[in-house]
Amino acid sequence: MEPAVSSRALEMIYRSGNTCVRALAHVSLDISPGEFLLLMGPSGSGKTTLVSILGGILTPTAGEVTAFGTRITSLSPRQRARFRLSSVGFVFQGFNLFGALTARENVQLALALKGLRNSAARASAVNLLDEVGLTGKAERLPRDLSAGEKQRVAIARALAGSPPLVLADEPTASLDADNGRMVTTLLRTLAKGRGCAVMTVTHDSRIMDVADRVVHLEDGALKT
Amino acid sequence: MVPLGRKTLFEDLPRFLVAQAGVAFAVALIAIQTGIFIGFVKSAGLPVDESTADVWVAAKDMLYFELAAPIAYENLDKARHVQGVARAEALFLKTSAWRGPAHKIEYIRVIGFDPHGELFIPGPIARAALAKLQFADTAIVDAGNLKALNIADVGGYGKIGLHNVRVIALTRGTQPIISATFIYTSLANAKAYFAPATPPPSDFSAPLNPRYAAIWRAIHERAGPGQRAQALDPSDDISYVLVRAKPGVDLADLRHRLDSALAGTRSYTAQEMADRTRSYWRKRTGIGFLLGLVAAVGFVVGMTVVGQILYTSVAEHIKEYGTLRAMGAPDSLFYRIVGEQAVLMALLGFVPGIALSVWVSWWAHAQRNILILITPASAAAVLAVIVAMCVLSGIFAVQRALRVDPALVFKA
Repeated sequence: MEPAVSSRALEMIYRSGNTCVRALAHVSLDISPGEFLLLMGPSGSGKTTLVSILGGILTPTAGEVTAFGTRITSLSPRQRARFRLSSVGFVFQGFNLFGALTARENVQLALALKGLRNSAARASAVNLLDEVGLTGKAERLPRDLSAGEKQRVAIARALAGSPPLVLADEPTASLDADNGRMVTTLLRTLAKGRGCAVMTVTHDSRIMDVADRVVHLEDGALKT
Repeated sequence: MVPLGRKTLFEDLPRFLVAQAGVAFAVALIAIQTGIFIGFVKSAGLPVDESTADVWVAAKDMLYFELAAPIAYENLDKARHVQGVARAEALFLKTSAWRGPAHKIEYIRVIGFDPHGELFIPGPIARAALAKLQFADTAIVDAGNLKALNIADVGGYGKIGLHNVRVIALTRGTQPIISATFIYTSLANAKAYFAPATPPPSDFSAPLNPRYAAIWRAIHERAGPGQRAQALDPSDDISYVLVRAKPGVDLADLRHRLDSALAGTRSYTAQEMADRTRSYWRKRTGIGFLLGLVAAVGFVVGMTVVGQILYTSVAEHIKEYGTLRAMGAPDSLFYRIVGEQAVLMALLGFVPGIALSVWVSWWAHAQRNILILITPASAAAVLAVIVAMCVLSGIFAVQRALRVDPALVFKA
């Protein structure tokens, strides 16, 4: 089966003055459609850099990434923004919800950006919030939600418009063990139902059993 | 689309209110300066606006309403015989000094007109009051000038030359901001006030004080309304001949005929006369530049306040803008969010700002008879300027959002 995302020989070097830091070294990784992949590794191992490159946010120093038939490493910044909008959903460690918007509006905004009309976006946002178990809390502001509930809103937003790829960066880091496991399971269930490929960056070894595959990154290189 | 800009703006209400105070201040500053300028320009042409004449005939070298060489009174009669003239009246204008009861001197302009005429009536005043000007040593003043003339009300006295002049009625809203205090009287009285050695009917060589005024009043009242000032001779000086054209007469043709018939004069339409007067004051005083400068300061202050508030708002929500970037939001969305905030700030700051300006305008008129004119058109122009100011500030602030590194979103 053709991989959803394929990276080849990725190199990432950060320069700061005369100092060079190699964040990724010759990373090649495929993610299959519908696969739930866990990326684990110690702090500073390059996990977030890899997620950023696969999501079309950063451009690698060398190597290439092909996602859904498009070589995203050769796209212009504007084209990469369009790629992210159409094909990638993000879940962040700090939730990154818009504080002035309700849970429903946070999800609705993502749908509106993808071109859904106001009424359709609104209805779809409410459905997504129902799916993540936030029925009745759609009109609450993020500050009135618990950490677990915020992350569920973030998952609903990432899945809005059913992007074929979801990238989650430490989604359980701000949650307790029970909430972390529940959120990860929820993400997996909903993503699988939509056929989305998911790559989750985590330190949390307790959720390893949820994954289809686990890869380890150390000092910028994949370990098998 | 979800109103992200609006909701983010109102999220921090205290900061929003501070920003609105800044915008309102800028609105008030610009509106008041503009109002003073419009009021000044409008006020400069007030005497011309009060006239219903179609054409003003003046000496050829006339600069503006208050600076015209004299022409002979006989021109009035000549004008009346020009084809197409329905009515003609004389207007006299000369500078003098008013000495009030406490010897305080005020610089004045005496305006002599025909109290029975139709082409020049100084403001809202009853015919009966105008008729009293036929009596010697009488005048009408603007209610806003009572303090300057050091009199309390109708019946007050002051000296013009050798004449003890009694105020027989008050008018309103006729005094230009920048001119000397206007004193309205009949042509005959005006002639008498400036006649060099002719003793007035109520001659007092001593300065007027309340005691003498009481004596004068007794004499004058005994003399009664039979006392009339002497009519003008053909060789007497006047300043203007005001002309009303017959219906359907072409004003350009009429002016041409008047210029030919009245030697040494030049005629102007009422609009030309008003424009000439306003233009003189605008250019001569540079007031437009000065008031424009203050308005520009208001613009810059407002733009700085709004720019700083919007920039801080963007900086404080930088992670949210980064999230939008990561999600793939186009640049246009960033402009839309910050633009929406800028326009909202402009509109919501405009309302209290213009209300404050209107109150200041009312207060200045009530206190000092100063005309700060805030018209619907000038208010709309101020609104457009304020919206432009806020949008410019927004364009400055949005640069911060556009430069945000989307990788920022991965930092917890």
